[in-house]
Amino acid sequence: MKIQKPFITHEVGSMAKPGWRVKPFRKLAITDDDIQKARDWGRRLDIEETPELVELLSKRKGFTKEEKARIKWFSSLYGIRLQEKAGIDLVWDGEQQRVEMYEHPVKRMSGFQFRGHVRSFDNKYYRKASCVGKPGLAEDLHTQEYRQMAEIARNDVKVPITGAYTIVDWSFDENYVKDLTPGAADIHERRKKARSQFLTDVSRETIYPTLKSLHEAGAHYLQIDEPAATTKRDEIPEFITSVKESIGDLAGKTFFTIHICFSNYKLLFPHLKELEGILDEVHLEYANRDSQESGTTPDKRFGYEILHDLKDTSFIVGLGVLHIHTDFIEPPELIRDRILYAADVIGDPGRIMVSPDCGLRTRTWGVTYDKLCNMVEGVNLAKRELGIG
Amino acid sequence: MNILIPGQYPRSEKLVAATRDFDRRRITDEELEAVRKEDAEDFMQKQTGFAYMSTGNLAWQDHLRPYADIITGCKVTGLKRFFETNTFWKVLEPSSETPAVDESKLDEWVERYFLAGGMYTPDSALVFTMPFLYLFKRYSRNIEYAQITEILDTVARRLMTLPEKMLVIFEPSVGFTELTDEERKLGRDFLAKISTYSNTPVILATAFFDVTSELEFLYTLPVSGFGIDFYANPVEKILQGFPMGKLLMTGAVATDSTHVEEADKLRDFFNSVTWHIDRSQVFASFAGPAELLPREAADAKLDVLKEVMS
Repeated sequence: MKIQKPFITHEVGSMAKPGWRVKPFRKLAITDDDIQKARDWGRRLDIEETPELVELLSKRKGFTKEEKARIKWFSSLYGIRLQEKAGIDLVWDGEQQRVEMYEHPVKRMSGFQFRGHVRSFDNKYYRKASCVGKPGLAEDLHTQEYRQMAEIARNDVKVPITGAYTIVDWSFDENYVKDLTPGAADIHERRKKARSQFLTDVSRETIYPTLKSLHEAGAHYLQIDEPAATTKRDEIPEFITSVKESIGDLAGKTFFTIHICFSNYKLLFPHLKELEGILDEVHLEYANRDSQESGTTPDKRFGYEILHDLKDTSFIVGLGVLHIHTDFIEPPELIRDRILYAADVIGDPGRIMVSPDCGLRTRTWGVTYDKLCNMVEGVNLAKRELGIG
Repeated sequence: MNILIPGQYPRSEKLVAATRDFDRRRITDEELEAVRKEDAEDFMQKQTGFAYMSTGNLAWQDHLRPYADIITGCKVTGLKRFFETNTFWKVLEPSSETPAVDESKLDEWVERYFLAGGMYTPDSALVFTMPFLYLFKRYSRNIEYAQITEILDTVARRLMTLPEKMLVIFEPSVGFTELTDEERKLGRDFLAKISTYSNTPVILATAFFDVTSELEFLYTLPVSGFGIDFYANPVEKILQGFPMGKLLMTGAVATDSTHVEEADKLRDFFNSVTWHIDRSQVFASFAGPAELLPREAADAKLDVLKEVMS
């Protein structure tokens, strides 16, 4: 699916959840500060329904199931309006309806059981599930969510969903490896076969039907999040196969993005070229590894080196221009120069979409909003520089 | 009983929750320590009868972080993926051009990190775990191999003077990266040097990767034994040419699956191992760091190892 407009902007997925969104689900009381923030952001984002939210929150605690659902709806409304107000073209709600990108989908799949917490780093742990039977969909993953967002949004929406490889890599496997014997002569082959089957089943039985359902519901922009894509250097071919199996016959029928971040992108090449004609946009994180100095020369834009590998592909380049792990507000001029550098390397502004490196959920809404506004301003400066209307 | 659980054992769900509560200032330091102590005692209980017990290193963030406390001017910087897992370590970066161990801190440091804050006495029969040179290099910045060698040598010397210890030197880089001749020599020289400090057995433990192309290097190293992940290596290839008299720490239960191995299957595995080497030289263990598993799964796997090795 082709789009012609240069430098279309989009968010990548998650944003922080407001205190008033989180507390009712943790059985914590809403504070005056929470209510004031709801009021302030409502005013800042011109949200007409703010008085209803304030009234709802003034209950403070003991919310019913229906009231909690309404609070979540408000959170999505605020998230979408924040992006629209910043001038983003393709919006999402900052994943206000989801716990996070792993637990949310896996809880809605059959064949998985949560086994307990494992360390991510330091004292940060996440709940990790194990595959205990053939994976399938126990309930709708994202279609209802999409319909709700499409109803709220004034701009086009882009739906992020966690990809098959990441779900497999972030899960344990009890189902496919149970016949393994330690030290067996064919241990490598058997492990590889088990892994491939696990990936195929997640791709075909959970991700493909989810994408198909979203397509049939009218979603035009679908983003597959695969932060784990390059975790195992010998599994890039399996990752590529899983993307093919996840998209299947939907290729060309809707706009598909793949988002990968904080990875060794060199490992993706040349395998990624196999996804030409299947994927439309390849979105990577760049700003995190770039300098903060303005300029359009390679010595200033060293974070964008991988563009040279993407140049000779047919993909639209999803260009991360905002570092998501710092409160540094990138000036529009820096963003402009990152875009101009990319346009020069790729040679076609129509092949570039502009976005943050990844979801901005570790930043406050204030920082997120300022970053996104500057991103849009940077796009306008780049267009002006290139004489694009 | 010949079971060894080096490195970090997974924290219990209760300790994970308490740590999170502490970070969010919901509980006090004393309350957190009480949960940690309870967890450590539970783990101690599980190891009754083991030749060498492990403290589980339940307070450590990762294997390198304790070193930030004793290396002069050492900063803890950004995250780096722990090999091909979904766990991340923070990278150490000494600010000094000549980073070294502050030896005045060493006794207190050993007690805090290696004796679980005094839960164990210095003469307890314990397995200690240290990073090897390549692992340290991979998760640090602006520090040369010569300086890393000095740091690890200082620590090893202190640990190996304590009686009744086993030292496991952890190194997943073997089989993961192509080592240069210089790196091989540095590793060999380091191990030769520490082997003179005491009779403490030293095991070089690999993990995650196929090491069969490195056996010629591994098997000529001056150590007491080797740790092998048998989910990445076939028994026949590892044990053909296994050096006489060396110990084998067998990675027999997987750390990338919560599937609890059947006892019969593990018995068959150990029979195939002891067909090559004497049972007294074999230690059963996890194939990689146990802490990659949730506690309940690790405990279940430990139970089956105990059943098989009893």
